[in-house]
Amino acid sequence: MIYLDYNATTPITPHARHAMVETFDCLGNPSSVHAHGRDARKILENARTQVANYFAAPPRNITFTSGATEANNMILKGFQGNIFVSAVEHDSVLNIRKDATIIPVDENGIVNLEALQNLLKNSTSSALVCILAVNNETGVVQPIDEILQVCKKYNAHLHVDAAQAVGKVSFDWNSLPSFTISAHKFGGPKGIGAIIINGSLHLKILIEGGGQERSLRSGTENIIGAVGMGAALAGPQFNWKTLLPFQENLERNILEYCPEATIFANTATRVSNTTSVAMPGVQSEVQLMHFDLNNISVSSGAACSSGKVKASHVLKAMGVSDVLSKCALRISYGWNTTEEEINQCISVWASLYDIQTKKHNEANYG
Amino acid sequence: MAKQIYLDYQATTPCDERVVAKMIPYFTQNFGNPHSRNHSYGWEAEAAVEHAREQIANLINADPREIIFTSGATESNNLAIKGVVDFNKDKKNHIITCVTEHKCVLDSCRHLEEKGFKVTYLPVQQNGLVDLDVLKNAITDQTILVSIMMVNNEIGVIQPIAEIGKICREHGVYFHTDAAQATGKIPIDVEAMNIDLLSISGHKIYGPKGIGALFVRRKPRVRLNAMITGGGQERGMRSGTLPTPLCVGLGEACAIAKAEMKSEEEQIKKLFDRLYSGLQKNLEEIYINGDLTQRIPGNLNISFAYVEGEGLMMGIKDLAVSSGSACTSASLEPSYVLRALGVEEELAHTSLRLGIGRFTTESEIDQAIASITTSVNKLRAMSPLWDMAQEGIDIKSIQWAAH
Repeated sequence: MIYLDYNATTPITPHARHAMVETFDCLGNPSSVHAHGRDARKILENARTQVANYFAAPPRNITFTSGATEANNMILKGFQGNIFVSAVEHDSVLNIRKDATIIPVDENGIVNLEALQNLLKNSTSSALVCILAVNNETGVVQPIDEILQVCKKYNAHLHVDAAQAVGKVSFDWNSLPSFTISAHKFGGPKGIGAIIINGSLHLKILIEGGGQERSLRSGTENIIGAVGMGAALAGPQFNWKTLLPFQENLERNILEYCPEATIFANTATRVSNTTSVAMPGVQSEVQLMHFDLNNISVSSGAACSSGKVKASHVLKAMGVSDVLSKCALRISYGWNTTEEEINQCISVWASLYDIQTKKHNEANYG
Repeated sequence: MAKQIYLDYQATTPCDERVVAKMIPYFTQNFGNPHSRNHSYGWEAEAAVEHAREQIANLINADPREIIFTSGATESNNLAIKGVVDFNKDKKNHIITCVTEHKCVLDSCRHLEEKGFKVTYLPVQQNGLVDLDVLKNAITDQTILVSIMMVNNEIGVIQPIAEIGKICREHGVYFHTDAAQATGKIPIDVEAMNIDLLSISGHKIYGPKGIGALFVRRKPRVRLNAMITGGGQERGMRSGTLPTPLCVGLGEACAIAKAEMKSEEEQIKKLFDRLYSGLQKNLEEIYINGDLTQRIPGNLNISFAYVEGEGLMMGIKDLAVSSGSACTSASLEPSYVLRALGVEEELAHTSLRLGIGRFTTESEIDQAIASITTSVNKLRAMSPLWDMAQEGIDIKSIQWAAH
């Protein structure tokens, strides 16, 4: 089996796995005052410090949540004022605030800075701008620094959804007023994420009760999850740039084999692990089935709840026709991916294209 | 220092090794996103999650489609209460709960009160149980929801859930129960008990922390507004990628609990009897808090008269016990649950919650008895109040001078 769906979820790093397995023996509740409880508290706070160190923030700026979806909910639902989100945000952000204003993007899915300026200029009350730093479908990297400057100019709060960004791009993390992360996108476990607030921001308290996480997020802490996230960030870091030759090889070969294929946003700055490609005339479902039969796991876009393959809102916002976006395939790779696996992916892609063009030709001339 | 003896099973439980073994592969080899519908990594993860959902449903006689995964019982309670009330806010405006509920239920209700809803906080009787007639009288045509916990986290009493369920159904009111402390410990049947919503916690039943579930009835259907929106997972009631290994852990914990509930209860009851009778034999003036029979055997909440609470906690350093619910115990304020029972402040201050669980041994119980006995005797020997009580002076009659 070849796994090429790192943007849906990643394997757990050995370092994180080891730290988590060790923590299974920690039995206390971090809120208990006895020694077991204090041990658990220490482990939890150590994990918080690891996360904090990675992002150059004081530990008190970190609030653990069950994942990025919850974290983004707390930010967007808590903000009193006008909300601006880009047209290419993750579904989980687009669905949170129905009253949000959409910021248009260019043909590569990059936020239109001029449009953002105009929106903020005309905003009558306080504003929050939410931007997905790295797009989950195309891998496009937003110009966060420039967006931050625009936001500063108009006194708007910039919130960055960094779910896909951690490790893949180097930001000046502590310059970001707030951002959210999800551990299972960078080698940590599912079920844990965090909000990092470097400025001041009012959060919607969704879960009330025991007063954990400085009363921002009640509920007994997911210690093993926190440890896994901390260890994934504190352990040896994968150099994502080493994937650049894979990306280059994959995309060059596809385009050489089929010049009519479209690699989305390939002129923009992208992360090194994502290829979004349309095979002309072949529906995503057909491609997915073919790849699965050949033991390769890829995706047509975001892993969503419905399981239905629908035209991507990201590609639509970039001006891609529905016909073409229904032929899109997302190939995303990571630290366990080998050159051989990429080559196999290329040949599976090519073999499907052969079958389909042959069929097409037979239908026309046969 | 030798590791303390763990007698705090209501705060959290160790993860059962069998549960851990089931979880590990889903951290590593089978790491797929259960919402990836396009490949076998995703399908495997989804199948594991759905199997876990069945295991949970089986334990409480529910349909798997009625189980929603959450991050824990705190979230489940918040979602059940705020979600159902929010969905019905245009029709009705009243909620009934009870003064001895867990903080997260009370805080959710207070939050709704601030938003203009009416909340009735039912008192409890001296044994910690809700008076059914008082409940009946509290229900109005404006009542949306009754939320009463199944087993109390501090004193371990079991509320008359089936009777409450019947009353709620008769009055057309939704019934939510926080079963964090009850799941896997006493038989639960959401059908027979007429429960509409039920909260479950993973780490209270030898599963992992960071996972819980909410049962949401389908027939007759209970509808609620989600708190966490986004990808629309969990039938739109709770968005966010499901943590496959944690779901698997909760499912396995439920399956083990179902298989072993009866034998485990017998085993824990024996240890409870040994502990309680041992303390009774050694010490005078000790008082059990909460009903004597309507309780789970894993919880002994007991007050020691003429002893100073913090001193007692210091004296029994070899025991990991709690003097209140874990969430608030750091504050050392007298427990609101015990005060609701009418326990005097002094006695509330000197109460211990001794939690017995799956891995507690006889020798641990014996050491706990010895340790508590020594400490209580030592503290009483130093206490002038204890001397006076021995001489027959009624402490309450003393007029203390202000200084």
